[in-house]
Amino acid sequence: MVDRMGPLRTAMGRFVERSNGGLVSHGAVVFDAADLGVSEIPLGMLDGAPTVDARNVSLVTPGAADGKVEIKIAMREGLDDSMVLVPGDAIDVDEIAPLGDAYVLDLRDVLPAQSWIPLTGDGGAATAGRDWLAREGDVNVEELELAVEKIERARSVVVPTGPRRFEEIFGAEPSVFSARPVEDGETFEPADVLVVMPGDNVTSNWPADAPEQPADVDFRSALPRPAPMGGVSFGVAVLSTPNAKVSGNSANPLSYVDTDDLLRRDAVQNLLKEAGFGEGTAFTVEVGPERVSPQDGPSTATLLGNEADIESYVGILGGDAEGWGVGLHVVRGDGEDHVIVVGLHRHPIGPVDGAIDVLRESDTIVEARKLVAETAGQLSDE
Amino acid sequence: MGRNSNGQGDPFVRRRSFLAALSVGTVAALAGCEGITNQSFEASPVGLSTDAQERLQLREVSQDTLSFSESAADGNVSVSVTSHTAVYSRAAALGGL
Repeated sequence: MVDRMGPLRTAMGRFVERSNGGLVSHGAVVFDAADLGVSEIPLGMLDGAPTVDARNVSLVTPGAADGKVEIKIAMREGLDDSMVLVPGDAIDVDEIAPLGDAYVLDLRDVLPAQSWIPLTGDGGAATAGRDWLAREGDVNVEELELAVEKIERARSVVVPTGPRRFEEIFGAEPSVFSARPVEDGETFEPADVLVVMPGDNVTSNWPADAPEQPADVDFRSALPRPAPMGGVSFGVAVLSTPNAKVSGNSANPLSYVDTDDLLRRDAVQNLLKEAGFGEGTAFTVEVGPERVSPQDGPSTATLLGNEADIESYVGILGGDAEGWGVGLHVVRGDGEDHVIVVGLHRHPIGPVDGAIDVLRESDTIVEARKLVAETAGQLSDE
Repeated sequence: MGRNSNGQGDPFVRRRSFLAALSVGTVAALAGCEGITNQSFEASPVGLSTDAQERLQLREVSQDTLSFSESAADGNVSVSVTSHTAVYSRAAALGGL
């Protein structure tokens, strides 16, 4: 019995799953609109068609080419394939009045939680405001704190759906997310809402008197960040292999080669494909794998009763999987056998210079290390 | 934990190319050791219980056994290594792919 929970419980999670041809594991990234060469975006689906500075707009862009099982990154030609997020108080109006079909949802029914570790009890997970919202160009802590504050204030999410029905966008009836339709004439205090809308609702309502839509939105030179989707792309491979020795000589190189070498072995590469790189995909690690040692999060794990280091790597894939950023987190322990645990996750960053830097600094590395540590601690050889 | 046996043993079948990394040089070196004819080694499977998978929101998507054997050219030495693997997925546990 599988529970539909976590990111797939949320409207954004279902949007990503649907946009990825049913594969939520392909995940998504978040672009700041200002990084895409866009300066202003008119919101023609709101009364008065207010224009919002692109520095306040973020775009959630799912990863895969629509309907493709292969892990090819979708062509990103315009705004249509993204979900557009704008904090209400970045919109210069006294009140927000959606035109056309729109829905109101609770924030927690829209954005997945940050944490990759499942929470117990009835405590709600903190929503990762700073990763979902635009960082307004030059990132500084004060602005990030402000963004988090904004989203926590935004207890409601207004979703103008535009030319498509709610079900087409999110793959489920509004009632699944406790969404209610916006009533005729209903308005919202800007500071109390986050406006989330499909990109095609923005482009199809582009006012005639606004500056022309950008012919090309430059997704290829902008650096996105992994969308905090609760680890939907996370997989774990576990390999137990004997510490085989004959006359004192090790006869099983997997048990003694260093981790850099281990990750290049066919044995491990085959497992990584199963765990999330994509079976049947011809990939190479184009950039890296590069060792990273984040300051935050656990540095060790308990594996079958023994403490072991967590070794983390980031890389950018090439070949059929060009442009996917990956994180690998390895825990190795020795008893009579040698046990190797590799957690991996991948993100559709794109073949962009500096992509590995995005991963190196990403909170996803810390979250993944936490989950690998938790996983290693619960492994058993019984 | 893992098991080790000497003797004729079963002829292990190479189910994947994976342990091809086993050093031919190592086996060749063993060929000169008297009294070592057939040695097989097998690890114990390691994995997550069903309860642990639920707690972690992970679901097993595959489990496999990987075996490899090599013999020296004169056939006097054979080393067999059997490993176990398990793969878990977050998306599968969430009800997705």
